[in-house]
Amino acid sequence: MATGPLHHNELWETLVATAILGTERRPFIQLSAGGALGAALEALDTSQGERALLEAAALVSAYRRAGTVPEVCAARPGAPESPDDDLPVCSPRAVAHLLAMLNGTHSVVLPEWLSALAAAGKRAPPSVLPEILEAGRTRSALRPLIRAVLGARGRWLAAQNPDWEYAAGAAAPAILADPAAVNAVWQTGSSAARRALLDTMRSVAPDAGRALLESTWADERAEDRVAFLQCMETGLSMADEPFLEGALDNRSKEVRAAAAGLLARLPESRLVHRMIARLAPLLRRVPPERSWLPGLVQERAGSIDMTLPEMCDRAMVRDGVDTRESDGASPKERVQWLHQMLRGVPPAHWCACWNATPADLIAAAARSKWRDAILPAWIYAAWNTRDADWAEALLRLDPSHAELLPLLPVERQEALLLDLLAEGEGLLGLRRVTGLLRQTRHTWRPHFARAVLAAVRNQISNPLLPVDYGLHGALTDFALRLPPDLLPEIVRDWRGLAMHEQWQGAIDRLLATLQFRSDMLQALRD
Amino acid sequence: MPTTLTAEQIVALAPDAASATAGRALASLHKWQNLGQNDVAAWGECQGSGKAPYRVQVDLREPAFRCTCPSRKFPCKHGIGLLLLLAAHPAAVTAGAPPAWVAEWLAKRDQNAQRCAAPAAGAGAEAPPVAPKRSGLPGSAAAREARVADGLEELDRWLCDLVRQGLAPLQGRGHRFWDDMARRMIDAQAPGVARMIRDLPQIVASGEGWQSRLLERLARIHLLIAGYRRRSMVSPDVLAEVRSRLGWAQDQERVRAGPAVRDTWLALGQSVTEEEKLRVQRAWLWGERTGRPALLLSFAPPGKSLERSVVVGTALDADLAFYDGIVPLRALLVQRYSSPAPIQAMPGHATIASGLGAWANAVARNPWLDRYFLSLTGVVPLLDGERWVVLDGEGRSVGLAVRPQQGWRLRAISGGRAIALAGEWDGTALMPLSAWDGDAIVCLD
Repeated sequence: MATGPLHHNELWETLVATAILGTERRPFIQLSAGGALGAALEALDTSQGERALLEAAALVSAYRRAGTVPEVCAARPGAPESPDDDLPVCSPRAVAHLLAMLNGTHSVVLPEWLSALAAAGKRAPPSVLPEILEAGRTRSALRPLIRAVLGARGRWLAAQNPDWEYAAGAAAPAILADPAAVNAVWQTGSSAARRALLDTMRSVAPDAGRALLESTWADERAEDRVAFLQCMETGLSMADEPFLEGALDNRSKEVRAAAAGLLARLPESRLVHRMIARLAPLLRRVPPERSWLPGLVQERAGSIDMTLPEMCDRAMVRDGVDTRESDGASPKERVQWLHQMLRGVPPAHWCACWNATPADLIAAAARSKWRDAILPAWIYAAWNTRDADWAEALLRLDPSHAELLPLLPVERQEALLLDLLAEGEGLLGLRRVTGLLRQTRHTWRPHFARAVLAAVRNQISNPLLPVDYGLHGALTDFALRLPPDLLPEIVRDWRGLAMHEQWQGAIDRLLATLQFRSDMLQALRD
Repeated sequence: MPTTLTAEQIVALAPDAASATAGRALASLHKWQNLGQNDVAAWGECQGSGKAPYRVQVDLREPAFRCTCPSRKFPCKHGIGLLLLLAAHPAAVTAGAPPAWVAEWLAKRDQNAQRCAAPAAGAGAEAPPVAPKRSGLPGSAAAREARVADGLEELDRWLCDLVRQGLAPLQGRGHRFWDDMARRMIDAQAPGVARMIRDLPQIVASGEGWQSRLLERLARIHLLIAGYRRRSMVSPDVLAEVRSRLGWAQDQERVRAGPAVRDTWLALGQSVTEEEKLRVQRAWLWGERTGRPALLLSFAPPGKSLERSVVVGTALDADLAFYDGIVPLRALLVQRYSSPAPIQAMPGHATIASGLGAWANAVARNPWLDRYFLSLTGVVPLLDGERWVVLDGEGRSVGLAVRPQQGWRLRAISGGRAIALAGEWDGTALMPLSAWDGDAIVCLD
C-alpha cells in the first residue's frame, strides 16, 4: 500500500517509527514524495524490507541534513548593546599573567594585578571578563577590586548573569541620577543588589542613602536590617545619629548591637554621652607618683581604678549592654557591664578627660587590677573609631593585635615596625613582628624592605637557630609585599648565602613570586 | 629574519599555561648566552638547573623547536622564551652563522623537507587520478579487500537484524553488544567503520529522540557498505572517500606528491578531542583566494605533545596537498613560502543561511560528512532561554555547542553587537573555536 506524497518531516517520522518497532512487526511500505527525493525513493529495491528501510533512511536523512535551514529566532538581541569603554586594553602579556593566575599559578598575586590594572588606567580585554567575574563569585574578597576594573562592558555583562550580580551596576554612580532606577532596585531587587546600591549611595550621597533605608526600614527583615546598618559605615556622620538612635529601640539584639557600634564611633552621639555619664563616677585615674630617690626622678604611669556598676538598667540594655541578670549579679557579670560600656566610648575621650597620652593611659591600664576588662575594651574602641594614635600605642604594648595595624597610615606602620624590630634585639624583634608584617597590605618601601630582609637573612643564616616555622610560612606573604624593583639586589644578596636546606625552597618560592610580580607589573605598564 | 609572530601568538604555541608563564620568565637577555640568529633560525644557550646550559634552537620558518632540556613538553619553555626574547629585542640578538649544533639540525630538516618535496616536483603529470592499491605485497592488499568485503557483509546482516527486530530494545544492550561488532570490524581491517560502531552506544544513551539519531547513523553505515559493494562502479572520488571512511589510510607520500593548492591560508580555529585514547587535533584553515576550508589533522598518544604546524590567528602563504575524497578537506602542508603573519580580518559567511548553504553543498555530495568548518561574520551570540545561540542580521539563528563559560566569553567579546566567529558545524549545532574581537582572533578553548 502506498501513501500520498509526504513532507520530508513526515517521511522521516514514518521511517523512525518503523525502525523503532522493527520491520518484522511493522513492514516497510513504499513511501512517496514529490520531486527528486520522491523519484529516488521510488527507485529503491523494496524486496527486502529492512534493507529498503536503511536505504530510504540514508536518502531522507541526507536530504534533511543538506536542507537544514536556520531557525527563525524568537529571541531578539534583547539587552541593549554595551556602552563603549574608553580605557585602553592591557597588553596580551598582561592577559597571559592574568590567565596564569586564574589557572592557579601565583593566584595570590591576583589582587595586585587587579589594582595595578586600575592604577595603570587600563582595562582587561572583553574575552577574559567572564573569568574575572567568575573569580569574584568564589572569592568575595576580590569583589571591590573587580568592580573597579570591569568597565562598562564588564558591568553590562555582569547584569546578564545572576551569578555575577555582585558586580552588576554597583559601581556606576550614574544610576543615582535616575531616581526611578534607584527606586526600582530598592523596591524589587535582591538583598545583594540592594546592599550594593546602598553602599554606592552612601559613598556619594550618604544622606540620600539613609533616607532610602528609612523609607522602608519598618518593613525590613531583621537580618537585612543588620546588613543595611553595615552599609551605613560608609559616609557615617552625625546626620545619621537620629536614625541610629531610633534603631536602638529595635526588638532584635543584633540590630541594636549594630546601631550601638556605629553610634560609638560618633563622639557627639547621645549614646556616647550616656556611656560617658555612666562611666564617669565609676572610673578613676590614680595619678602618677613621683618618688624621689637620691639623684633621680622616677616617674610612674599610675594606674586606673574602678567601681563596679550596681545594676544594668533598661537604658543600658537599649544602648547595647548585653546582660543575663539585671541586678544582684555576680562581680564577674558586673565587670562585663563595665567592659561593654567602655567599648562604647571613643578612647580619645579619656586622653581629654585625664589630660594624658594614649601611651600613658595604656601603661596605667596595664598596671591596673582591671586590665583584662579595660584593655580589650580599648582595643575594640580604638579599632571601632579608627583611632591611629591609640592603635599605635596599643601595638607598642602588645604587637599581637595585628588587626589594629591597618588603622595606621603606611608610613607610620613602617616606622612602628622598624622600632619594634630594633627594640627586640634583632632576632627576637623579628619574631615579635612577623605577625604584623603579614598584616601589611601595601608594597613595602625600599628602606623598610631592606631592614626586614636583613633581619630575615640574619635569622636564617644562623646555623645555631632552629627553623622558625612562623617566619618560614610568612615568607609567602613577604613575597607579595616586597617591592619588585629590589629583585636584582635581593638575588645578589641571597645567592650563595649558607642556610638550612629547609629555607632554600621557601627562598626560591619567594624569588619566583617576586619575579612573577616584577614581570606582571612591567607587562601592565607596557 | 626576525620572527613576525606577536608575543601573544608565541604564547599560544605553548602547550599549557605553565609553560607560557615559564617561557615569559625566560625571555630576558641575562638568562641567555651565545644568542644568535640568521634568516631561518634562532639559537641560544639557557642556564637551567643542570650543569651544562640547554641548547635551544628554533626553525623560524614553521616555527619548529629543539632543545636539550629533559622536559617532555613541546615546545618547552626554553623555546617559547627564545622566541619571545627575539620578538621583544630583535636587535639584541646578533645575526651570524649558526654554530655546528644548529647547522646540523637545520641541514637535517632541509634534507627531510626536500625528500618530501622532491616527488612533488616531478609527479604532477603522472599522478594517478585513482586511489591506487597500497604498495607492498599485492597479495596482502587483495587479502585485505577480501577481508573488508566479508566483514561488511556480516555488518550488513547485523544492521538488517537490528532494524528487523526494532530499535526499541537496544537501550537495554550493554557495551559488549556494540564492542563485539566493533572488534569484528577491526579484525576485518575496517577500523573506520569500527569507530562508527563504537559511537553508537553514546547515541543510544543520548536521551529523547535517540532513535531518530541512531537510525541516521545506521543508515550512514549502511550507505558505506553499499558504496563499497559498488566499488567497481563509483567515481574515483567516491571510492577514495568510501575507502578512507572504512579505514584505509591514504599514503602521505602520495598525497604530498599530488597537485598542490597554493594560497594564503588563514588558520582560523583549532580543536583537540580525545578519540580512543588518542588526542586528535584539528586545525582549520581557510584559503583566502580559493575560499575553501582545509583541515590539518595531527594525532598524539597520551603523554606526547601534538605537533603544532600552524598558529591560529596567523596567515601563511603555502602549498597544501589534499587527501582524495568527495569534498576534499583534509590536507598536508607541503611547502611554506612565508612566515606566519597575523591575519587582518576574519573571512566568512555574512548570513547563517549562506553558511548553511555551503554545508548543504558539501553534505549533498558527501553524505558521510560529519563536521564542516563554518565561519560567520555578522552574528550576535546570546542566551535564548537556557541555550546559547547566534543570531544573524536576517533574524535567523543556530544553536551553539558551548560550555556556559564559553558562551559568556562570546557574549563579552560581542558586547551585544555582531561579531565574526568560526567553528565546527556538525549538522545540528556550531561548536565555536574562535572569534574576532575587533583586532585579533580569540581562541575559545
